[in-house]
Amino acid sequence: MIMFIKLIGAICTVIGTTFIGLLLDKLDVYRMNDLKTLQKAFVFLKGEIDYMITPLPLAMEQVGSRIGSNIGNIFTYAGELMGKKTGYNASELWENAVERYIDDTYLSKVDKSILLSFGNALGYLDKEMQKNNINLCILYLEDEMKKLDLHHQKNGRLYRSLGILSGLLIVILLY
Amino acid sequence: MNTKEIILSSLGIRLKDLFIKIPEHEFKRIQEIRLRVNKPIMIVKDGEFLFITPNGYLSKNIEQAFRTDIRDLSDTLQMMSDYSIYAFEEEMRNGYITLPGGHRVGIVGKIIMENGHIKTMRYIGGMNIRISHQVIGCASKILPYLLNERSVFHTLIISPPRCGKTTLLRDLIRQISNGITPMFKGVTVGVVDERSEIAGCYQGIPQNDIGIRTDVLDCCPKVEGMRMLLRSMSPDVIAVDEIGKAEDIHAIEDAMNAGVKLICTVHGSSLLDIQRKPVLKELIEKKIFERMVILSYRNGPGTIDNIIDGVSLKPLMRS
Repeated sequence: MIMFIKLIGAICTVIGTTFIGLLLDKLDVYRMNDLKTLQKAFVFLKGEIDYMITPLPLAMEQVGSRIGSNIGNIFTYAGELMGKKTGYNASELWENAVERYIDDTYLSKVDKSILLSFGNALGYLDKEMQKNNINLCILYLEDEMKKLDLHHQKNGRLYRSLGILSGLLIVILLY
Repeated sequence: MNTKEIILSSLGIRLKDLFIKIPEHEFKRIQEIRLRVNKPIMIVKDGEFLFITPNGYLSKNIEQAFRTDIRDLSDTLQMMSDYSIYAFEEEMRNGYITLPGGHRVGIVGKIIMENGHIKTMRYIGGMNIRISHQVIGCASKILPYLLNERSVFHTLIISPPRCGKTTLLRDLIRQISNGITPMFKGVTVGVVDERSEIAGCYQGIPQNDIGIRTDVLDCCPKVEGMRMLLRSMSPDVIAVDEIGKAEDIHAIEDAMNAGVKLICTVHGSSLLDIQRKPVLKELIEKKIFERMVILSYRNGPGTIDNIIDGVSLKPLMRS
Protein backbone atom coordinates (compact mmCIF):
# COMPACT_ATOMS: atom_id res chain seq x y z
CA MET A 1 0.00 0.00 0.00
CA ILE A 2 2.77 2.42 1.03
CA MET A 3 4.62 1.55 -2.13
CA PHE A 4 1.57 2.45 -4.12
CA ILE A 5 1.21 5.86 -2.46
CA LYS A 6 4.91 6.47 -3.00
CA LEU A 7 4.52 5.63 -6.67
CA ILE A 8 1.62 8.06 -7.04
CA GLY A 9 3.65 10.74 -5.24
CA ALA A 10 6.61 10.13 -7.50
CA ILE A 11 4.48 10.37 -10.64
CA CYS A 12 2.90 13.61 -9.38
CA THR A 13 6.33 15.11 -8.68
CA VAL A 14 7.63 14.25 -12.14
CA ILE A 15 4.48 15.58 -13.82
CA GLY A 16 4.66 18.78 -11.76
CA THR A 17 8.27 19.61 -12.55
CA THR A 18 7.73 18.69 -16.19
CA PHE A 19 4.93 21.25 -16.37
CA ILE A 20 7.09 23.91 -14.71
CA GLY A 21 9.73 23.24 -17.36
CA LEU A 22 7.18 23.48 -20.16
CA LEU A 23 5.71 26.66 -18.68
CA LEU A 24 9.12 28.36 -18.49
CA ASP A 25 9.60 27.39 -22.11
CA LYS A 26 6.13 28.63 -23.08
CA LEU A 27 6.56 32.02 -21.37
CA ASP A 28 9.12 32.94 -24.00
CA VAL A 29 6.74 31.86 -26.75
CA TYR A 30 3.90 33.97 -25.29
CA ARG A 31 6.16 37.01 -24.94
CA MET A 32 7.25 36.53 -28.54
CA ASN A 33 3.60 36.55 -29.63
CA ASP A 34 2.93 39.76 -27.70
CA LEU A 35 5.98 41.42 -29.17
CA LYS A 36 4.83 40.48 -32.66
CA THR A 37 1.35 41.87 -31.96
CA LEU A 38 2.87 45.05 -30.60
CA GLN A 39 4.99 45.44 -33.68
CA LYS A 40 1.92 44.99 -35.86
CA ALA A 41 0.09 47.62 -33.82
CA PHE A 42 2.86 50.14 -34.36
CA VAL A 43 2.89 49.47 -38.09
CA PHE A 44 -0.88 50.11 -38.18
CA LEU A 45 -0.47 53.27 -36.12
CA LYS A 46 2.20 54.52 -38.49
CA GLY A 47 -0.17 53.98 -41.39
CA GLU A 48 -2.98 55.83 -39.67
CA ILE A 49 -0.72 58.80 -38.93
CA ASP A 50 1.23 58.84 -42.16
CA TYR A 51 -1.39 58.13 -44.83
CA MET A 52 -4.77 58.75 -43.22
CA ILE A 53 -3.69 61.62 -40.94
CA THR A 54 -6.19 60.33 -38.39
CA PRO A 55 -6.18 62.31 -35.14
CA LEU A 56 -4.28 60.40 -32.45
CA PRO A 57 -7.21 59.48 -30.15
CA LEU A 58 -9.15 57.94 -33.03
CA ALA A 59 -6.02 56.31 -34.50
CA MET A 60 -5.25 54.69 -31.14
CA GLU A 61 -8.78 53.31 -30.78
CA GLN A 62 -8.80 51.98 -34.33
CA VAL A 63 -5.44 50.26 -33.88
CA GLY A 64 -6.66 48.83 -30.58
CA SER A 65 -9.80 47.35 -32.08
CA ARG A 66 -7.95 45.93 -35.09
CA ILE A 67 -5.28 44.29 -32.95
CA GLY A 68 -7.62 43.09 -30.21
CA SER A 69 -6.15 40.97 -27.39
CA ASN A 70 -4.50 42.40 -24.32
CA ILE A 71 -2.07 44.50 -26.32
CA GLY A 72 -4.98 46.13 -28.13
CA ASN A 73 -6.43 47.16 -24.77
CA ILE A 74 -3.48 49.47 -24.13
CA PHE A 75 -4.14 51.34 -27.38
CA THR A 76 -7.92 51.42 -26.99
CA TYR A 77 -7.71 52.72 -23.44
CA ALA A 78 -5.11 55.37 -24.33
CA GLY A 79 -7.36 56.51 -27.20
CA GLU A 80 -10.37 56.70 -24.90
CA LEU A 81 -8.46 58.77 -22.34
CA MET A 82 -7.25 61.16 -25.03
CA GLY A 83 -10.74 61.52 -26.44
CA LYS A 84 -11.97 62.82 -23.08
CA LYS A 85 -9.86 65.99 -23.43
CA THR A 86 -8.96 66.06 -19.77
CA GLY A 87 -6.01 68.41 -20.14
CA TYR A 88 -3.30 65.86 -19.36
CA ASN A 89 -0.67 65.48 -22.05
CA ALA A 90 -0.37 62.49 -24.33
CA SER A 91 2.62 60.89 -22.63
CA GLU A 92 0.91 60.94 -19.23
CA LEU A 93 -2.21 59.30 -20.65
CA TRP A 94 -0.18 56.72 -22.55
CA GLU A 95 1.76 55.85 -19.38
CA ASN A 96 -1.54 55.51 -17.59
CA ALA A 97 -2.83 53.06 -20.19
CA VAL A 98 0.43 51.06 -20.23
CA GLU A 99 0.50 50.77 -16.42
CA ARG A 100 -3.09 49.59 -16.38
CA TYR A 101 -2.89 46.86 -18.97
CA ILE A 102 0.76 45.73 -19.11
CA ASP A 103 0.26 43.16 -16.34
CA ASP A 104 -2.30 41.36 -18.50
CA THR A 105 0.40 40.73 -21.11
CA TYR A 106 3.61 38.71 -21.15
CA LEU A 107 5.75 41.77 -21.90
CA SER A 108 8.91 42.23 -19.83
CA LYS A 109 10.31 45.29 -18.06
CA VAL A 110 12.48 46.07 -21.07
CA ASP A 111 9.42 46.00 -23.35
CA LYS A 112 7.61 48.30 -20.95
CA SER A 113 10.46 50.81 -21.04
CA ILE A 114 10.29 50.79 -24.85
CA LEU A 115 6.55 51.50 -24.67
CA LEU A 116 7.04 54.34 -22.20
CA SER A 117 9.82 55.94 -24.23
CA PHE A 118 7.46 55.85 -27.23
CA GLY A 119 4.94 57.75 -25.12
CA ASN A 120 7.43 60.42 -24.15
CA ALA A 121 7.59 61.63 -27.71
CA LEU A 122 3.87 61.36 -28.34
CA GLY A 123 1.54 64.21 -29.14
CA TYR A 124 3.69 67.19 -29.86
CA LEU A 125 5.66 66.13 -32.93
CA ASP A 126 5.04 66.76 -36.61
CA LYS A 127 4.36 63.90 -38.98
CA GLU A 128 7.96 63.16 -39.92
CA MET A 129 9.13 63.06 -36.31
CA GLN A 130 6.15 61.04 -35.20
CA LYS A 131 6.94 58.49 -37.91
CA ASN A 132 10.58 58.34 -36.87
CA ASN A 133 9.51 57.80 -33.28
CA ILE A 134 7.38 54.82 -34.28
CA ASN A 135 10.12 53.42 -36.52
CA LEU A 136 12.59 53.63 -33.67
CA CYS A 137 10.17 51.80 -31.46
CA ILE A 138 9.67 49.06 -34.06
CA LEU A 139 13.44 48.74 -34.35
CA TYR A 140 13.80 48.24 -30.60
CA LEU A 141 11.05 45.65 -30.65
CA GLU A 142 12.75 43.76 -33.48
CA ASP A 143 15.95 43.78 -31.48
CA GLU A 144 14.14 42.35 -28.47
CA MET A 145 12.56 39.68 -30.64
CA LYS A 146 15.94 38.63 -32.01
CA LYS A 147 17.37 38.38 -28.52
CA LEU A 148 14.37 36.41 -27.34
CA ASP A 149 14.58 34.05 -30.28
CA LEU A 150 18.23 33.33 -29.53
CA HIS A 151 17.46 32.88 -25.86
CA HIS A 152 14.62 30.54 -26.69
CA GLN A 153 16.68 28.40 -29.04
CA LYS A 154 19.40 28.10 -26.43
CA ASN A 155 17.29 27.57 -23.38
CA GLY A 156 13.95 26.19 -24.59
CA ARG A 157 15.02 22.56 -24.76
CA LEU A 158 17.05 23.02 -21.57
CA TYR A 159 13.95 24.11 -19.63
CA ARG A 160 11.91 21.20 -20.93
CA SER A 161 14.48 18.49 -20.21
CA LEU A 162 15.46 20.13 -16.92
CA GLY A 163 11.80 19.91 -15.90
CA ILE A 164 11.60 16.13 -16.32
CA LEU A 165 15.12 15.46 -15.05
CA SER A 166 14.74 17.53 -11.87
CA GLY A 167 11.51 15.67 -11.16
CA LEU A 168 13.30 12.35 -11.54
CA LEU A 169 16.18 13.60 -9.36
CA ILE A 170 13.81 14.53 -6.54
CA VAL A 171 12.09 11.14 -6.77
CA ILE A 172 15.40 9.24 -6.69
CA LEU A 173 16.68 11.30 -3.75
CA LEU A 174 13.48 10.75 -1.78
CA TYR A 175 13.53 6.99 -2.35
CA MET B 1 -20.74 73.02 -25.75
CA ASN B 2 -20.65 76.67 -24.76
CA THR B 3 -17.66 78.94 -25.28
CA LYS B 4 -16.18 78.35 -21.84
CA GLU B 5 -16.36 74.58 -22.22
CA ILE B 6 -14.70 74.72 -25.62
CA ILE B 7 -11.87 76.92 -24.37
CA LEU B 8 -11.38 74.82 -21.22
CA SER B 9 -11.17 71.63 -23.24
CA SER B 10 -8.39 73.18 -25.31
CA LEU B 11 -6.14 74.05 -22.38
CA GLY B 12 -3.41 72.05 -20.65
CA ILE B 13 -4.26 70.75 -17.20
CA ARG B 14 -2.66 73.58 -15.18
CA LEU B 15 -4.30 76.32 -17.23
CA LYS B 16 -7.59 74.43 -17.27
CA ASP B 17 -7.59 74.32 -13.47
CA LEU B 18 -6.94 78.06 -13.46
CA PHE B 19 -9.50 79.17 -16.03
CA ILE B 20 -12.26 76.99 -14.63
CA LYS B 21 -12.30 79.38 -11.65
CA ILE B 22 -13.39 82.35 -13.78
CA PRO B 23 -17.15 82.79 -13.41
CA GLU B 24 -19.30 82.31 -16.51
CA HIS B 25 -20.51 85.93 -16.75
CA GLU B 26 -16.93 87.24 -16.71
CA PHE B 27 -15.74 84.63 -19.17
CA LYS B 28 -18.34 85.80 -21.67
CA ARG B 29 -16.72 89.22 -21.82
CA ILE B 30 -13.21 87.95 -22.52
CA GLN B 31 -12.00 88.75 -26.03
CA GLU B 32 -8.48 87.38 -25.98
CA ILE B 33 -6.27 85.18 -23.84
CA ARG B 34 -2.57 85.70 -24.45
CA LEU B 35 -0.08 83.10 -23.29
CA ARG B 36 3.68 83.61 -23.44
CA VAL B 37 6.35 81.29 -22.05
CA ASN B 38 7.54 82.48 -18.60
CA LYS B 39 5.41 85.63 -18.82
CA PRO B 40 2.18 86.51 -17.05
CA ILE B 41 -1.02 85.46 -18.79
CA MET B 42 -2.77 88.45 -20.26
CA ILE B 43 -6.49 88.61 -20.74
CA VAL B 44 -8.27 91.18 -22.86
CA LYS B 45 -11.67 91.86 -21.37
CA ASP B 46 -13.83 94.75 -22.60
CA GLY B 47 -10.78 96.12 -24.40
CA GLU B 48 -8.69 96.20 -21.24
CA PHE B 49 -5.51 94.19 -20.55
CA LEU B 50 -5.77 92.25 -17.30
CA PHE B 51 -3.69 89.65 -15.48
CA ILE B 52 -5.06 86.55 -13.85
CA THR B 53 -4.17 85.57 -10.29
CA PRO B 54 -3.65 81.92 -9.26
CA ASN B 55 -7.13 82.09 -7.70
CA GLY B 56 -8.74 82.95 -11.02
CA TYR B 57 -9.38 86.64 -10.29
CA LEU B 58 -8.80 89.11 -13.09
CA SER B 59 -6.68 92.00 -11.83
CA LYS B 60 -4.48 94.81 -13.05
CA ASN B 61 -1.80 94.02 -10.50
CA ILE B 62 1.18 92.32 -12.14
CA GLU B 63 2.56 91.22 -8.76
CA GLN B 64 -0.11 88.53 -8.35
CA ALA B 65 -0.15 87.50 -11.98
CA PHE B 66 -0.05 83.82 -12.88
CA ARG B 67 2.93 83.01 -15.09
CA THR B 68 2.95 80.22 -17.65
CA ASP B 69 5.86 77.89 -18.24
CA ILE B 70 6.91 76.06 -21.37
CA ARG B 71 4.95 72.94 -20.40
CA ASP B 72 1.70 74.85 -20.12
CA LEU B 73 2.03 75.94 -23.71
CA SER B 74 3.08 72.59 -25.10
CA ASP B 75 0.28 70.82 -23.18
CA THR B 76 -2.20 73.40 -24.44
CA LEU B 77 -1.03 72.92 -28.01
CA GLN B 78 -1.50 69.16 -27.62
CA MET B 79 -5.05 69.69 -26.43
CA MET B 80 -5.86 72.15 -29.20
CA SER B 81 -4.59 69.80 -31.87
CA ASP B 82 -6.24 66.74 -30.29
CA TYR B 83 -2.74 65.33 -29.54
CA SER B 84 -2.16 65.37 -33.30
CA ILE B 85 0.10 68.22 -34.37
CA TYR B 86 0.81 66.17 -37.49
CA ALA B 87 -2.79 66.72 -38.61
CA PHE B 88 -2.37 70.50 -38.30
CA GLU B 89 0.81 71.02 -40.32
CA GLU B 90 -0.81 73.35 -42.82
CA GLU B 91 -2.33 75.43 -40.03
CA MET B 92 0.98 75.56 -38.15
CA ARG B 93 2.65 76.82 -41.31
CA ASN B 94 0.11 79.65 -41.43
CA GLY B 95 0.57 80.35 -37.74
CA TYR B 96 -2.85 79.56 -36.38
CA ILE B 97 -5.24 76.79 -35.37
CA THR B 98 -9.01 77.18 -35.36
CA LEU B 99 -10.92 75.62 -32.47
CA PRO B 100 -14.47 74.27 -32.72
CA GLY B 101 -16.80 77.28 -32.63
CA GLY B 102 -14.50 79.40 -34.80
CA HIS B 103 -12.16 80.62 -32.08
CA ARG B 104 -8.83 81.32 -33.68
CA VAL B 105 -5.55 80.66 -31.90
CA GLY B 106 -2.50 82.50 -33.23
CA ILE B 107 0.81 80.77 -32.53
CA VAL B 108 4.40 82.02 -32.59
CA GLY B 109 7.63 80.15 -32.08
CA LYS B 110 10.68 78.99 -33.96
CA ILE B 111 10.01 78.56 -37.64
CA ILE B 112 11.71 75.67 -39.46
CA MET B 113 12.50 76.42 -43.10
CA GLU B 114 13.01 73.95 -45.94
CA ASN B 115 13.94 74.93 -49.51
CA GLY B 116 13.05 78.54 -48.79
CA HIS B 117 9.56 77.69 -47.55
CA ILE B 118 8.19 77.48 -44.06
CA LYS B 119 8.10 73.80 -43.15
CA THR B 120 6.71 73.89 -39.66
CA MET B 121 6.93 75.58 -36.29
CA ARG B 122 8.69 74.13 -33.29
CA TYR B 123 9.32 75.44 -29.76
CA ILE B 124 6.14 77.42 -29.23
CA GLY B 125 6.83 80.78 -27.58
CA GLY B 126 3.40 82.33 -27.40
CA MET B 127 -0.25 81.95 -28.20
CA ASN B 128 -3.19 84.25 -28.60
CA ILE B 129 -6.61 82.68 -28.14
CA ARG B 130 -9.13 84.97 -29.80
CA ILE B 131 -12.59 84.15 -28.59
CA SER B 132 -15.09 84.72 -31.33
CA HIS B 133 -18.40 86.15 -30.21
CA GLN B 134 -21.66 85.83 -32.02
CA VAL B 135 -23.47 89.12 -31.63
CA ILE B 136 -26.86 88.36 -33.09
CA GLY B 137 -28.36 91.52 -34.56
CA CYS B 138 -25.20 93.62 -34.65
CA ALA B 139 -25.63 94.19 -38.38
CA SER B 140 -29.21 95.46 -38.12
CA LYS B 141 -28.10 99.09 -38.00
CA ILE B 142 -26.18 99.00 -41.27
CA LEU B 143 -28.44 96.65 -43.20
CA PRO B 144 -30.82 99.35 -44.53
CA TYR B 145 -27.84 100.96 -46.26
CA LEU B 146 -26.72 97.73 -47.88
CA LEU B 147 -29.96 96.38 -49.26
CA ASN B 148 -31.82 97.26 -52.39
CA GLU B 149 -35.17 95.74 -53.29
CA ARG B 150 -34.11 92.34 -54.50
CA SER B 151 -30.54 91.94 -53.39
CA VAL B 152 -27.61 93.54 -51.64
CA PHE B 153 -24.97 95.99 -52.83
CA HIS B 154 -21.37 94.92 -53.33
CA THR B 155 -20.05 95.71 -49.89
CA LEU B 156 -16.59 96.15 -48.43
CA ILE B 157 -16.15 96.21 -44.65
CA ILE B 158 -13.02 98.11 -43.65
CA SER B 159 -11.80 97.62 -40.10
CA PRO B 160 -8.67 97.56 -37.96
CA PRO B 161 -7.99 94.24 -36.19
CA ARG B 162 -10.17 93.44 -33.14
CA CYS B 163 -12.99 95.82 -34.09
CA GLY B 164 -15.55 93.14 -34.81
CA LYS B 165 -15.17 92.82 -38.55
CA THR B 166 -15.75 89.08 -38.67
CA THR B 167 -18.57 89.30 -36.11
CA LEU B 168 -20.32 91.93 -38.24
CA LEU B 169 -19.82 89.91 -41.41
CA ARG B 170 -21.24 86.82 -39.72
CA ASP B 171 -24.39 88.59 -38.62
CA LEU B 172 -24.75 90.24 -42.01
CA ILE B 173 -24.60 86.82 -43.65
CA ARG B 174 -27.14 85.44 -41.19
CA GLN B 175 -29.65 88.23 -41.78
CA ILE B 176 -29.27 88.31 -45.56
CA SER B 177 -29.62 84.54 -45.69
CA ASN B 178 -32.62 84.32 -43.33
CA GLY B 179 -34.28 87.40 -44.79
CA ILE B 180 -35.78 90.26 -42.85
CA THR B 181 -39.54 90.34 -42.80
CA PRO B 182 -41.21 92.15 -44.37
CA MET B 183 -38.68 94.18 -46.32
CA PHE B 184 -36.23 91.58 -47.58
CA LYS B 185 -36.64 88.01 -48.72
CA GLY B 186 -33.64 85.87 -47.96
CA VAL B 187 -31.11 85.07 -50.68
CA THR B 188 -28.66 82.21 -51.11
CA VAL B 189 -25.29 83.07 -49.61
CA GLY B 190 -22.04 81.24 -50.33
CA VAL B 191 -19.28 81.65 -47.79
CA VAL B 192 -15.63 80.89 -48.43
CA ASP B 193 -14.35 80.49 -44.90
CA GLU B 194 -10.60 80.25 -45.36
CA ARG B 195 -9.81 80.35 -41.64
CA SER B 196 -12.98 78.74 -40.26
CA GLU B 197 -13.74 81.95 -38.43
CA ILE B 198 -17.02 83.01 -39.97
CA ALA B 199 -19.03 79.83 -39.67
CA GLY B 200 -16.77 78.14 -37.12
CA CYS B 201 -17.17 74.80 -38.87
CA TYR B 202 -16.37 71.59 -37.10
CA GLN B 203 -16.01 68.65 -39.48
CA GLY B 204 -17.70 70.70 -42.19
CA ILE B 205 -20.78 71.66 -40.17
CA PRO B 206 -21.22 75.34 -39.21
CA GLN B 207 -21.28 75.82 -35.43
CA ASN B 208 -22.30 79.46 -35.60
CA ASP B 209 -25.70 80.65 -36.76
CA ILE B 210 -25.15 81.85 -40.28
CA GLY B 211 -28.64 81.55 -41.68
CA ILE B 212 -30.79 79.00 -43.46
CA ARG B 213 -29.72 79.77 -47.03
CA THR B 214 -25.98 79.70 -46.43
CA ASP B 215 -23.47 77.24 -47.91
CA VAL B 216 -19.97 77.16 -46.47
CA LEU B 217 -16.72 76.01 -48.03
CA ASP B 218 -14.60 75.48 -44.96
CA CYS B 219 -10.79 75.97 -44.87
CA CYS B 220 -10.83 76.71 -48.59
CA PRO B 221 -8.50 79.25 -50.22
CA LYS B 222 -10.56 82.28 -51.32
CA VAL B 223 -9.73 82.24 -55.02
CA GLU B 224 -10.51 78.57 -55.60
CA GLY B 225 -13.43 78.70 -53.20
CA MET B 226 -15.18 81.57 -54.96
CA ARG B 227 -14.86 79.79 -58.28
CA MET B 228 -16.09 76.52 -56.83
CA LEU B 229 -19.14 78.20 -55.31
CA LEU B 230 -19.91 79.99 -58.56
CA ARG B 231 -19.84 76.77 -60.51
CA SER B 232 -21.57 74.51 -58.06
CA MET B 233 -23.88 76.29 -55.64
CA SER B 234 -25.37 79.17 -57.70
CA PRO B 235 -25.17 81.72 -54.87
CA ASP B 236 -26.77 85.18 -55.05
CA VAL B 237 -24.21 86.55 -52.64
CA ILE B 238 -20.66 85.43 -51.88
CA ALA B 239 -19.03 86.45 -48.61
CA VAL B 240 -15.30 86.25 -47.88
CA ASP B 241 -13.10 87.48 -45.05
CA GLU B 242 -9.86 89.49 -45.29
CA ILE B 243 -9.16 90.07 -48.96
CA GLY B 244 -5.97 91.79 -50.08
CA LYS B 245 -3.90 89.63 -52.42
CA ALA B 246 -3.73 90.40 -56.14
CA GLU B 247 -5.29 87.05 -57.06
CA ASP B 248 -8.22 87.73 -54.71
CA ILE B 249 -9.09 90.74 -56.82
CA HIS B 250 -9.31 88.67 -60.02
CA ALA B 251 -11.59 86.17 -58.34
CA ILE B 252 -13.77 89.02 -57.07
CA GLU B 253 -14.07 90.45 -60.56
CA ASP B 254 -14.93 87.00 -61.93
CA ALA B 255 -17.71 86.63 -59.40
CA MET B 256 -19.04 90.11 -60.11
CA ASN B 257 -19.10 89.43 -63.83
CA ALA B 258 -21.17 86.37 -63.12
CA GLY B 259 -23.80 88.60 -61.52
CA VAL B 260 -23.10 87.57 -57.95
CA LYS B 261 -23.08 90.17 -55.18
CA LEU B 262 -20.04 90.26 -52.92
CA ILE B 263 -19.48 91.05 -49.29
CA CYS B 264 -15.83 91.25 -48.27
CA THR B 265 -13.81 92.49 -45.34
CA VAL B 266 -10.38 94.05 -45.35
CA HIS B 267 -7.88 95.31 -42.76
CA GLY B 268 -7.60 99.09 -42.63
CA SER B 269 -8.66 102.05 -40.55
CA SER B 270 -10.04 104.42 -43.16
CA LEU B 271 -10.81 104.78 -46.84
CA LEU B 272 -7.54 106.67 -47.26
CA ASP B 273 -5.72 103.77 -45.69
CA ILE B 274 -7.18 101.38 -48.27
CA GLN B 275 -6.43 103.72 -51.16
CA ARG B 276 -2.75 103.61 -50.24
CA LYS B 277 -2.59 99.86 -50.84
CA PRO B 278 -1.92 99.25 -54.54
CA VAL B 279 -4.18 96.23 -54.98
CA LEU B 280 -7.15 97.64 -53.10
CA LYS B 281 -6.71 101.07 -54.64
CA GLU B 282 -7.57 99.54 -57.98
CA LEU B 283 -10.82 98.18 -56.57
CA ILE B 284 -11.85 101.59 -55.26
CA GLU B 285 -10.89 103.35 -58.48
CA LYS B 286 -12.85 100.91 -60.58
CA LYS B 287 -15.78 101.62 -58.27
CA ILE B 288 -16.33 97.93 -57.83
CA PHE B 289 -17.78 98.14 -54.34
CA GLU B 290 -21.03 100.06 -54.05
CA ARG B 291 -20.97 100.36 -50.27
CA MET B 292 -18.08 100.62 -47.84
CA VAL B 293 -18.57 100.19 -44.11
CA ILE B 294 -15.82 101.54 -41.87
CA LEU B 295 -15.48 100.21 -38.32
CA SER B 296 -13.50 101.55 -35.40
CA TYR B 297 -12.96 100.93 -31.68
CA ARG B 298 -14.19 104.36 -30.56
CA ASN B 299 -17.18 103.06 -28.62
CA GLY B 300 -15.92 99.51 -28.12
CA PRO B 301 -15.77 96.75 -30.72
CA GLY B 302 -18.19 97.01 -33.61
CA THR B 303 -18.53 100.79 -33.69
CA ILE B 304 -19.81 101.82 -37.14
CA ASP B 305 -17.67 104.80 -38.05
CA ASN B 306 -19.05 105.51 -41.46
CA ILE B 307 -20.83 104.06 -44.46
CA ILE B 308 -19.60 105.35 -47.80
CA ASP B 309 -21.22 105.17 -51.22
CA GLY B 310 -18.58 103.46 -53.36
CA VAL B 311 -19.50 105.29 -56.53
CA SER B 312 -19.67 108.88 -55.34
CA LEU B 313 -17.37 108.23 -52.34
CA LYS B 314 -19.73 110.32 -50.22
CA PRO B 315 -20.70 109.30 -46.69
CA LEU B 316 -24.23 107.91 -46.26
CA MET B 317 -24.20 107.80 -42.50
CA ARG B 318 -22.16 109.20 -39.71
CA SER B 319 -22.42 107.89 -36.21
